[in-house]
This record gives sequence, C-alpha cells and structure tokens, in this order.
Amino acid sequence: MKKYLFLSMLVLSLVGCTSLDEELEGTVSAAVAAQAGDAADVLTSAYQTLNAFGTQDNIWALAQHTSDELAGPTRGPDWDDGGVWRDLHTHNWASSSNFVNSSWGSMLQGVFRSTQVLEFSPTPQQEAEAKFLRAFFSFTVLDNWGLVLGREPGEDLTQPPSLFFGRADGIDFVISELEDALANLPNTNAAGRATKNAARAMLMKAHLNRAVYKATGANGGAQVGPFSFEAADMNAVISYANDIIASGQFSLDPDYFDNFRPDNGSLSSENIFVLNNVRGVNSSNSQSRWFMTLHYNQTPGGWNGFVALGDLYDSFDEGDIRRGMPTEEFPELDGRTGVDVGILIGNQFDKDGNQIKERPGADLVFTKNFSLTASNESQGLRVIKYPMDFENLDSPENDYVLVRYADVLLMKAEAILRGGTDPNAQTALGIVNDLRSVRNAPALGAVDLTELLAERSRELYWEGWRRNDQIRFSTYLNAFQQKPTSTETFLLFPIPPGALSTNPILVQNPGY
Amino acid sequence: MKNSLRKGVFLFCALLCYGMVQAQSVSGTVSDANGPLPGANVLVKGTTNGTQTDFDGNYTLSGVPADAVLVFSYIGFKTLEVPVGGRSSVNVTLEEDAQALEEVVLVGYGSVRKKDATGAVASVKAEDFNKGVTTSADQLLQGRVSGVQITTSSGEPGAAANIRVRGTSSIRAGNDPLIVVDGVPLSGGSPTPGSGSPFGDSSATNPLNFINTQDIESIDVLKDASATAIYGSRGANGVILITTKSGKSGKPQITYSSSYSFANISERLDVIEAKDFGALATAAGNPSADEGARLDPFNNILQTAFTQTQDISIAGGSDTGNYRFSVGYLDQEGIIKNTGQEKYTTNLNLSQNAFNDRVKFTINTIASFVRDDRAAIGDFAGAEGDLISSALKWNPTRALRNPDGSFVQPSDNQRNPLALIDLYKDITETTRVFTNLGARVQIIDGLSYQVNIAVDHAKADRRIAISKDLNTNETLGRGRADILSATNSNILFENTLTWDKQFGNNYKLNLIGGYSYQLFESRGTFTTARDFTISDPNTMIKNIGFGSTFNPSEQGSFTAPKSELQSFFGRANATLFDKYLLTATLRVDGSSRFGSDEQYGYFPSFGAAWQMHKEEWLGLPDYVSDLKLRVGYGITGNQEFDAGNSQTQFGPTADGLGLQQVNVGNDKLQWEETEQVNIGVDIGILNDRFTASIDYYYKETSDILFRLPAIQPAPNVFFWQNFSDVTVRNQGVDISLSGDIIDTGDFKFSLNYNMSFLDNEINGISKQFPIGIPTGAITGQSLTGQTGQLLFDDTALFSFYLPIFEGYDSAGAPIFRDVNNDGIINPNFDGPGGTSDRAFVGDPNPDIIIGIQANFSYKKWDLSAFFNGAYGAEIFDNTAAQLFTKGAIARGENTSTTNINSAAANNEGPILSTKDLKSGDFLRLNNLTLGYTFDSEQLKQSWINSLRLTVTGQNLFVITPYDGFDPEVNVNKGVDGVPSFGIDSTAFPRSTSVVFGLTANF
Repeated sequence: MKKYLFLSMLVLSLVGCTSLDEELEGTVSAAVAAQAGDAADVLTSAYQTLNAFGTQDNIWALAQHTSDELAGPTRGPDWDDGGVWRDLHTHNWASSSNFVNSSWGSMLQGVFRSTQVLEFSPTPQQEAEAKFLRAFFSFTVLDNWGLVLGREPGEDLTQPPSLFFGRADGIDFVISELEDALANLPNTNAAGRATKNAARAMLMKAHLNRAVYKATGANGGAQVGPFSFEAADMNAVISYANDIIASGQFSLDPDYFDNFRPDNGSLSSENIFVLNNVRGVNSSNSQSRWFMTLHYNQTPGGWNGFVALGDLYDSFDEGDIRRGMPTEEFPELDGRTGVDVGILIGNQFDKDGNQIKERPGADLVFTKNFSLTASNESQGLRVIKYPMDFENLDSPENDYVLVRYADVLLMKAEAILRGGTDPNAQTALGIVNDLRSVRNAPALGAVDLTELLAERSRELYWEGWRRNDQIRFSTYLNAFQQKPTSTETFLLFPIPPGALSTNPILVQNPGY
Repeated sequence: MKNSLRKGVFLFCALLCYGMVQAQSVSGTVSDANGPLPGANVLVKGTTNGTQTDFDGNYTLSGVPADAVLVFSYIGFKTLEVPVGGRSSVNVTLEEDAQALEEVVLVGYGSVRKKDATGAVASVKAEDFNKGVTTSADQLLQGRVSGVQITTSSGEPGAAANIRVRGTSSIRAGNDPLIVVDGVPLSGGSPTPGSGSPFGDSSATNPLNFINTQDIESIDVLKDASATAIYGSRGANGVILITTKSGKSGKPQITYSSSYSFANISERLDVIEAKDFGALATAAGNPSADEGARLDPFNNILQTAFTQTQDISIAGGSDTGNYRFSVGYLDQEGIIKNTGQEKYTTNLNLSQNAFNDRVKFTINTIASFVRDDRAAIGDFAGAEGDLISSALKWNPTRALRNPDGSFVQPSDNQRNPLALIDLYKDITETTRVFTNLGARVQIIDGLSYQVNIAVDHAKADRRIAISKDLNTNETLGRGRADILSATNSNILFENTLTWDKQFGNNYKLNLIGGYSYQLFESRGTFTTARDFTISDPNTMIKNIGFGSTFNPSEQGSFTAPKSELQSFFGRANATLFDKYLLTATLRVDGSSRFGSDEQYGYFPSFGAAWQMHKEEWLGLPDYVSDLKLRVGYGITGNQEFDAGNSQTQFGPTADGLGLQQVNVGNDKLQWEETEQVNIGVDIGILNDRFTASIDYYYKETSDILFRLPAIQPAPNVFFWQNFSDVTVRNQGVDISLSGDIIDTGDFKFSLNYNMSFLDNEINGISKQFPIGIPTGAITGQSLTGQTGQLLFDDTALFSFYLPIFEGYDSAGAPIFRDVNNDGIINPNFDGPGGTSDRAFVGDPNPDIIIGIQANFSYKKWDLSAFFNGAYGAEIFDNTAAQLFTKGAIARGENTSTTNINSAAANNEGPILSTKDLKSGDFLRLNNLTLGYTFDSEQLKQSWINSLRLTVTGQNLFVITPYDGFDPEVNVNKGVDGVPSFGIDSTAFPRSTSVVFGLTANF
C-alpha cells in the first residue's frame, strides 16, 4: 500500500509544477521594447495621437461648438443626442460631459506618448520633436483645463504624475519646452512632422495668450479679461513671426481652399503643421469635416448636422473667396456633386443642377436663421472647408491643418495692436490688408482689435482656434446667436470626475 | 519439469474429454418485473463463454458444464448467479438494483449520489431536456434548474445565451459559468470572430454550438460555493458539467432520429400599414410621403424557415468496455432570408478495460463543423441602421425595386432592406475538435489513479462581402470584403488520486487529490479589401483578389499570451453513521494571467449535510422518505480578463508604422473573489414520489476586476485593477418541487416546478467613480453618446437610470418629472444628486424566474408541456426609442401605430426616457410535445425495437406586456467594455415552430 502511494506521489511530482511566468506573444514587453525599440517608431506613435484633433466631437467640438462660429442644432427628431451639442453652445456643460472627459484622456495620452520617446535614446532632433509634441498637447491641456500635467520618462504609471503646474506656471513651462525644442528642430521635415517654424508658430500662440493664463478670476479660476499683455510677449510674437517670414518657406496662397483640398500636402503654400493623411495609413478623420454638415440627400450624403452662425456669413464682403467658391472651380468635385465649397447658403443642387429636396419633400434651402432646439432639416448654413476626396470618401487624403501661415500673420498683426513693435516696421493694417487682398476682399480703412478678431474668424473659421481667440479677446462669454451670456466658470472645462478620484493632487476648477 | 509437463498435458486432455462428455446446452428466459429483458448478459462463471438475450429475453448457451454457475447481469439490475445443477432450462427474474438506479450527480472530479450531496447541485437528464430543435446545450437547460437564468440574446440560429447561475456577481470580468464537457473545462467566450461588419459588431455566436444536443446524456449544475470551489478561480459564476452519452453493455443499440420543422416569426412589430401611411404622414405634416406602392417591407426580409435534423448513433458494449458513435446533421434556416446554421457533428465515446480490469481507458471525442450564415444585423448599427431597423423604417409606399429590377436606394440614410439581404454575404465556418483520453488505474482496492489528457481546438473563419451596389457611404461604388480568422486551443493535463475507505460500519471516507495543468491559446488574423471590380458578393467572398485596396491599418493579426493555469486540488468526503455527511475542498490555482506578486490563489470550501429522516429519535412520520439539511460555505474566484493585462506591453500602431505602449502593467492583478453561504433542505415524501428542495444563498464578490481610469498622463485611458472598494452582493432562494401526482395504471401525470427569487446589489462604486459607471448604450439617430444604465452605490447591477416620462404637453413636447425638485427640467445625464432629472427606475434582473414542466402519459401516448417565465425585470426598447417617433413619419419613414396615435408633436424625435422602458415579465409555453411510441410487436417487425413519433411546438405563445419582438432579449450595448443587460435593439426576431420528429431504435 505504501509502495503504491509512493509510486503515485512520484507520478504526481514528475508532472508537477510549471513556472507561471507569462510570456507575451502578439506584443512585446517593456524590456524588449527598450532593447529593440527605435525612438523613431515611438515618435511616430506620438504623432498619431494628434489625430484626436481631427474628429467632429471631442477637442474640436470644445473649441468650435462653444464659440460664435458654429452650433449643432436639434432638428426635430435628429441631433438631440441628450443635449450635448446644445450644452456646448449655450455654455451649460457639466463634469459628466463625455466630450470633456474623452478630450482630457486623449490630450494627456499625447503628453504621455511624446514623453515616452525620451525613454528610447532619441537623437537630438527626435528629442526636439517629442518635446514639441508634448508642449503642443500641454498647451491644449492648459488652455482647456488650466493646468499642465507631465511625467518624467520611465515614471511608475500607477502613481500620480510628478509634474504639475497651474495656469500661471504652466504657460512658462510650455514656453521653455518649446524654446528647448526649437534649437534642435529641423528647418524642413517630412509631411506632418514638426519643424522650427511649427515651434515658432506655437511659441507665438503661447506668448500671445500668456497674459490670459497669468490672470486669475474672482473665483480663483480663469478671468474674462481684459488682460495686461506684456510688451515683451508681444515682441516675442513679432520676432517669431519675422523668423517664419524670413525662412521663405511660406506665402499666402491665392487659392484659399488649396490649403484644405485632398492634395493640400502639395498644393498649399501656407500649412505649417498638419496631420498628414495618407490613404489607408494615417487617418485623422478629415471626412468628418464634410459628413458632419452636409444634408442626407446631398452628395456625399451627410449627417445634416453642424451649421455656421449667420453673423459669420454676414461678416464677409461680397467676393471674398473665403466665403465660398462654386463646385466648378474644383476638378475633384465637378461632375460628382453639386455641393459648393466654403459656406453653403440658399438652394442646394445636385451635380446636374436639379434642386435637392428635404426628406419631407420641400426644397433644400440653407438659411442663416436656425433654432438650437427646434430647427427643420434645411435651417442653418453649412460649411465645406475641406473639399471632398471622392476617391477616398471614408479615409481621405486631405491633410488636417493645425497651424497655418495666415494665422501667423494675423497673430503678428494682433501683437502689434497689443503694443508690440515690429523691427520690420509692418503695421497691423498693412498685414491685414495684404491678406485681404489675396483673398479678394476690399482693403480695410482701419483695423482695431474688434476688426482683427473678425478677420481671424473670416480667415480661420472652423479650424479649431475660435474658443482660444474669443477668450483672449474677452468675447467668449458674451451672448451670440442662440447663446445667452455665460459666467467665468465656463472659461475652463471641468476636470473629469474619474481623474479627480485617481489623482489626489488635482482640484476641480471653480464652479463645477 | 518434463514430468510435470507431461502431467499437465494429460490433465488437460482429461478435462477436455470430461467436458465433451459432460457439457450441455442451457436455454431460458431472462425477465424483470415487467416481462422479458432483451440484451441481458449471460455468462458461465470463470469462463468467457457467454451470450445475450434476444428481443424476447431468450438465450441459449452451449457447452455449459453441469456444475457450472451462470451469471446473469444487466445494467441497473442486481447481478444474479445461478448454479445450473444439470438443468437444461434456467429462467431467471432480475431484480432492479435500487442503489444503481439512484440518481447520481456530478460534483467535479467525481460524482455522488444525489442523496449524499452536501452542496447545492442539480442534474438534468436527457429525458427532461427541452424538446424540439435545439442547437446548443443551454437551450436544453433553459428554465429547468432553479437559480439558473438563461437568456438567449436573439432569435438568430446559433445565437449566444447569457447564462447566469445565481445572479450576476461581476461587473467587468465574465459572468458566464465555467462549462466542463466530459471533464474538460472549456475556455470562456465564443471561438468565432465577432467584428468585421460595418453594421456594427455582430452578436457573439454560441460557444456550445459544437456539441450535438442529441449526444448529451446529462447536464449537472453546481450552484453554491461548497460545490464549485473545487474549480477555484473559475468557480464563482457556478459550474455547468455536460456529459455526453456513452454505450452500455449489451447488444448494439442503433438509434436513428430525424426531425423536420417549420418556423415563422412569433411576433411582429406594430408598424403603420401601407394603406394608412399616406394619410397619417399628411396628418403629421408630410403630404408627399405616399409614393404609391403598397408593400409590407418587413415581410420582405422574412421567410418560413425549414429545419431538418438527422442523427444516427450506434452504441453497445461488453463487461470490459463500451462504445458509442454518433453522427449528426442539422440544417436550420433562420426566419430572416439568407440566414441559418448548418452543422455536422460526430461524437465517439469509448471505454475499455485492460490488465484484468485494473486499468480502464476512456476516450471522448467530438468533432464538429458549423457554418453560420448571418445577416447585416449589428449590436451597434449607427444612425443609418442595419437590416432590422432599415426594414422597420422603410416607407411602405415606396417600392423596393425599380421597374428595371434594380434596388431603390435613395441614400445611405434610407437603406433598402432587400438590398441589404441580396448584396450582403456573411459566412462563418467553425471547425472544432475535442478529445479527451483518460486512463484509470486501480492501484489497490479503494485506491485509484486517473490521468486525463485533453485537447480542444477550434478554428473559425468569417468572411463578409458587401457589394459595391449597396448604397452606403462606405460601400457604394467600392465594395468591401473582410476575412477574419480565429484559432483557439485548450490543452488539459490532469492527474487525480482517489481513495475510498470504510472504517468499520460507521465511518466512510472518500479522498481525492489532484494536479491539473491547462493551457489556453488564442490567435487570429484579419484583412479588409476595398474597391472591387466585381459586384456579386458571392464571388467577392470567395476571392478578395477582386479588390484593389488593402489599407495597412486594415490588415493584421494578433496572438494572445499563452494563458496557463496550474492547480492543486483536493476533496475529502466523510460519511458518519450513514447520516452525517461532511465535505471539505481546497483548490490552489496558479495562473499566468495574474500579476507576478499574486500568482497563486487559495479557494477552500466546507459543506455538511444531515440526513434527518434516518434519525429515529426525531420520530418523523413514515411517509417522510427523505429529509436532509445542508449547509455550505466557500470561496471561489473569477479570472476572466484577457491574458497579458498584468504586464506592461508595447504593440504596433494600427498602420504598423509606430511602436507604442498599450498597457500599464500591474504586478498585483489577481482573481476576484466570491464568498458564498448556502443553506438548503431536501424533502422526500412517500418514497420520494413528491420531492422538494429549498436553498437560500448569500454571496458577496470583492476585489472586482475592473478597468479603472489610468492616472493621466498615461498610454491608455484604462488599466486592469482589482477594484477594492466595490462589492457585488447576490442573495436569493431557489425552490424546486416535483411530484408523480398520478403514477399508477395507464395514466400517469407528473409535475415539476422550479422557482428562484433573486436580489442583487452593488456597493462602493462612487469612491472611484463619483458619478457612477454609465453603461447600456442607447443608440440611433439623435441618441449619440447616450447611456441608459448606471452602475452606482446600493443599486442593482445594470439599473436603468433615466428621465421619467410623464406624457406630452399641449404642444406635444415630452414632459419629464423634476426628479431633484430644483424647478429646472434637465433630462441630460449627470450623476445621482447632480443637476439632472434622472432616477433609478428599474433593472433588467428578474426578481423571480420560474419553470413548470408537466408530463402526461396514457399507455403509449405521452404529452409534455414546459413553461418558463420571469417577473420583475425591465427592458429598454431601444428599437422603439430610435425608430418610433412622429418625426420619423414626417421625414417619410415608418413608425409604430402606437406612436402615431400619441399626443407627441409632429417633429417628435427620439428621446431617452422611461417612455421606452417596458416590463419584461413573461410566461412562455416554451415547448409542448405529443408523442406516441410503437414497440416491435405493434410494428410486427422484429428488427426494430421501438419507434417514436413526436410533434413539438416550440415557443407557441408568450404572455407578456412587452410589445417588442420578445421579452427574452439581450443585445450587447456595453460601454468601454462594461457590459449591459436587458436592452433590446434591432435584435434578430424570435420564431414559433412546429417540429415533426421520429426516433427509431434497432
């Protein structure tokens, strides 16, 4: 009996005990990645997190729906979506907002991914690109939530991050990071990659807005303004602008929409920093730019969603090419659709010139007036800033523009108006009129800050900068079409509840 | 030596001569209490000379020595030894062996008599399974066992089922019970790829499809922790043990069965008919809606579904081994055109004794091939819609085809349902091979060693093609085809030692100790092709080379880390004085999935039972044949998260150009833990003619596995952690009653009734999630980003959290209740206590589930009826919420007649509110079978033993207030991987069917 028991124990012990250390199969461990990984590949992944800027919701919606350029009206049975679009436009969002929460995650993911490049022994240029990207994401986090969060390379990710700045210190951190990056960035780089000029343009944004972040409101959060812009900041803006101009890489493009067409990568002479979209490789969702606004019965059939405010349309002079161009001017569209480019107003036609109908049967006629809660299918002006890529409707090649030369020039003009001095002796009026002339708009007799803000809208409408501009010009909380005045609380977005509960150093922004 | 050899030869010759002289032929009849017994074994003791009785119970044996002893044996009867004593005719009557016939339940790594079980266990045998066409084991079991809720996700052939044993104990990790087939634990989840369709992820197919339901002998359910703890880190959700049929000793039994059935949709939705559409649309503000045609769009996608099954099995055996081999064929059509399931299965079970019966080898093998033809129906179809929503909303006055035969396809937003049928092809083919080789060695009396080596390998290919003729933004003019493959394997190596020992008359001990090692692997590939030169989806699906665009981000493969589970387990059963039963188990589970700090988990359990009816001093009346009190306690686990989550991982970006961190490692990641207490009583009256079992249980789950928000900046939004603040509590009462109400004479009537009460609550969510965890995506146009369920403190899991709808105001706008009494109506989402007017308004977990089985028989006729039902559950009807609005008819889409008659404004849009929250109470006549059995005498054919003909109605009626297709529905509407429950959203409709069946035994 004992013998048998012994025998059985022997059998058991022979078969027993495997080491349970898990080996990865379809992915690699940190150790393998550290050994075999190339900083270039990690950098590519960091660049791809920028795609978060390209969708019709999230960070772009926070920048545009809350501004005086755009709204998402409910159309009878369509587009209520639990009031999410309405809440953005009327400044009535709460900390439960999905868009606020997902934008927070994607922007800070960008901060993480760009930081991680530094763990992979990057070349000086790769390090500079990573720092530029981190600064780009950090600037966005600062602008929207009023703080900067960061990690040192290789930190324990189950612990709160070691870098934390409030608004006033945060902007100085972003500026120093961009200055740091500028030194080793190349003059030219592959499509969609950071250059010295991209860093200069972002340094301009940072200096131009610095006073906004230095100011504190009565409730301890952001302040509505007016702000005390320092001459040193304005001169820095002008100086970087002059560096960009002097680089000779950019000029105003006489064909405004070349900046946005499917082959804008080669056509545009203005795009400084873009999301480079290549069919089947990188896709930043540029298609959302047409689907989100076109009517169901147009070609391509859209979602009949977002509209431009009437004041935006009225702000243009007749003949300004930025307001709109006919389909026929665009070979990639002609014969495929009757949809024009720019702001769409009035009767809409198909490619053969036949009037398009609404689904209930009436003619499809886009109007300036609309109601945020009760529009019909036609109401509201539509915008086609990015001409459709019919070859790749679902994964188009239109590069998505983040920063553009015209913006640089307008920022320079603004810095001059705000007390800066241009060593090249350009005036704000001169800069604006040069731009207007290329856009086929009559010259202005004078330009003040109000006119400059309007010009920025005419030039940069729907490009994702409007919230930032309006806050700097103190018009963000004002009443505009389909929006009442709002309180200083809404100058910053709430920190997501999930972030507050996992990171004890965070404090909710005032008012939420 | 030489001498002794010579002696031996002489002796042999002498014996031979003696035998030749003395041997004779013996014949006779073997019968039991009811008459002759065919197939009984007759053997001359100590020899291999034996035979079997024929159909009339007769046998003849030649060469029987006059002083021989005949051994008569038959399964289920006491073996009888009769000395021949020179007779030439020996007739015997065998007595039933009560011990052998007594019900046995499997308890994992062994079995016990039901009467001796200490845990809450139930066993359902083949004769009690649900009748009719069944494609997976869960359908056999639905409603049969108290405490087990089985919800089929839809009416699609081969649809997956939600199986919940005693409620839902986990949030994020799987809630399905561990399934063990012929001793082999399966890996969780479906082996078929679920994604790939642009109409949203398809519902998962049923992972149990690979077993032919005709091959299943019994299904045993282990419900409480004292029973499931032997399965350790996989036992928390209960364990279901499926046993396939094996042969019995005796002559070969050949069984052929066949069925033919016809199914039609059981419930239509009440949409506006073509003849009324124009006038109603005009009244709703759209005078041009009537386009002249008159059709029923939904009817155009339906068909009468024909199904046939053919099964043949051969079984038999001897004293030393047995065999059973079966082949099955199922060809089931779905009630939606071009859908169905075709299935081929084989099952071979062998056992063979060797080495003087000291070793018993067993082989179980299942091989199956399943082909699923699926329709363009998705869980997340998007605003444009899938086949079901397109058919429901199609303007019934608009023709589906142009005069030239082409499809009418106005826009991506109004998809032609017939085009979605014709221009879409979706085939999944799954091959699965399951084998289990076992050897049991009798080391000494009472001590045996068992080794099992098992392999379960499944390979599935899914191919989907969408013609470029289909008008969706993605496909028009381009076409798209996807090929997805998935390979899953599971290898088991298991050793157990069993020791049975009796100490005197009063102490019995049964010990089991074991070691098992199990390995799970999973990998797959996917590819998408676009821009096809041809438009026929039937050709596209066969050669994606007709496509010209292969985007790098749409090609790829994946391989999950190997998941290894190494376990040591033991169980001790002690029986004292034949009435006190004690069980203790322990399992130590080590898993490679767990973090390096927490590789081994310990799962103990204890159970005790007291057979009170054996206590003289209690003085129970004689008619009490059984009274047993049971208590049990145990700790079990759940480890259903993907392998690799405890480690920091780097992977490629979608286009393969970049490298990025995809997971935050967590060395402390481990199983979640469920503690359960069970108290039960079993009662038998009048020799168990009436029985009752009542169990109360309380279970609490902690260390919940969950993806918590990563602390930003971080590589991804979530990472897996054990969520220590949260507990999920389930408690309830399971009752089952059965009675042979009339069991004498020609007429028999028996009734079984089971009933389960269930209460579920989750606590402690708000510490990490101040506004709760939203789930239950409510989708459709104008409902983007909406959720209807919220996991929050002190609520039932998957509670609905919605604005309360109180009718329409005079302008037709919806009125919502001011829940927080702040004077402002804000139906938009915010956490409880926030600014919004939402409230917890019910949950989809039924409070009571019941099953009622009635069996009648009269002579050779039999009739059985089975009802199942659930009460106290709510369902959110996402189909109605997204489609049935007045605004729909205003834009020329169909809506429901209820909606058109409501006081809503003409531009009413989809709203998320209690308007579409409906009671899911129901009572279903699940199946009704009438059968007649002919015996060979009646048939006047000796080659056939019996012939049984049946007519079965499946799902003949449902009594329910629910006005969707069916109240038993569950479409996956999870958010960020947090599952949902109880949402109906364009699910594949259910059917009512009539099945004609034939079973012949030869």
